[in-house]
Amino acid sequence: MIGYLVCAVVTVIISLFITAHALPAMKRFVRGWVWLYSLPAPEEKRKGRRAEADSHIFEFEQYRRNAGDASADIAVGLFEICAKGMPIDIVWSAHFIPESIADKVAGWSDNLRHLRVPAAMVAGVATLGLMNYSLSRSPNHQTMGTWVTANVVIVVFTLLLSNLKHPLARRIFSAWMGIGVAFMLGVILWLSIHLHLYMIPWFQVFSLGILPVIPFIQVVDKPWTDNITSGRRLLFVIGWVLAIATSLAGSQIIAGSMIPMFSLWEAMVLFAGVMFMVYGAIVLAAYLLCLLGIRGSAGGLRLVASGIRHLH
Amino acid sequence: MRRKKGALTPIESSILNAAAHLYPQGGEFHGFQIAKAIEDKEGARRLTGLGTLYYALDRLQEQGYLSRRWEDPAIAARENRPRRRLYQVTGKAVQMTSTVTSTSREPQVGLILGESSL
Repeated sequence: MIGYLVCAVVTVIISLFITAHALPAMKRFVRGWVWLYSLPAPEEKRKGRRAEADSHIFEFEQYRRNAGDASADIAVGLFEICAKGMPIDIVWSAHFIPESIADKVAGWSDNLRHLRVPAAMVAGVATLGLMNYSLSRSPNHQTMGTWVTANVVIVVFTLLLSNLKHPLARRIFSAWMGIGVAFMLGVILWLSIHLHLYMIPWFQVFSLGILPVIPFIQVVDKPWTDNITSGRRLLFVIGWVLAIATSLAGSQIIAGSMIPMFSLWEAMVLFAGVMFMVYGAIVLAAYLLCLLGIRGSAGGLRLVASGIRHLH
Repeated sequence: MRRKKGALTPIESSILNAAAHLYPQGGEFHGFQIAKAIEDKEGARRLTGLGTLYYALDRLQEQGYLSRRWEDPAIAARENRPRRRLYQVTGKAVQMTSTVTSTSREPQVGLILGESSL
């Protein structure tokens, strides 16, 4: 009883706080966004757009207040009209970015490519240090096998990352990625069914949703697709059919029912929708980079592929 | 698909249609007013996005369909609100909408301006 009362009081306090602060905060946010995207525009256009946005926010608030809307509702409406126009705002802003800046950004991008090897080495050394430190603090895992395996894995991984252009390195890396993903999915699947983790909504959405997007990664990231299928498309399809059949069989054997697997797939479909939005944002970023003149339109597509790969 | 030169986007057509409908005598309007008019006229469930609206107004002004001016600061100060930028439909737009109106009951600007090619 006391618990319910505490929850009710906390809810009321939070609601009041949001009601009091949402609208001013949202107005600041929208003005901040307009200020930001209008930065590259010439002074006259910049000031004009900011003044018009100010006026629009004011009129919008007045109109909604006269209609009897609460502050929080107005804040949500304001965010909606701002968010709906954001892609166009970015496109408008991109028109005013001088070519000299676009060239400079392209130059940075080239320089970053040269920094790939030292960056991989630094990351590798840092990871080695961190891992060895962790092992030294964990007496239960201080066996020769653990030390050697962990160090060798990180060293090899670092070397591969520093020279991904080498065909052998690419092949090993792709195989490694494939094994890693398969292992991870296997562990998640087993844990999920065995420990009934599929019952926890956040676990379904954030961990298991990775499955339905894998085909998209393979479609977008061409080199990886080629490495996996090597032109044998039929094998690719058979692989997926087998994966689905095996997972259903696994569910039946471990849990005595196929329902857990269907529950998982339901969550995956939900997550796939969210992932489409994430990919949409990446594609937009890639498109804008191309628009800004980052050398080679393919750079944008590469960004999409690497972005998606890094998401997982 | 790339847009034909001079063709209007759906939002640009909506702005001109709403303006022609609301201000047939060439009255002035501001950004929010036209967004509200589009919502009312077309039964749009929500108001047009800020960026979408002002980008379209910019384009219409550049193409000569709209003229615009800043409101007298004294009026805005007297009413204690930010200054408005006022838009007005030009002769070019009026001529175009009247041509369309003579062939249909409602002005449908987009139909003759290659909107279908978007």
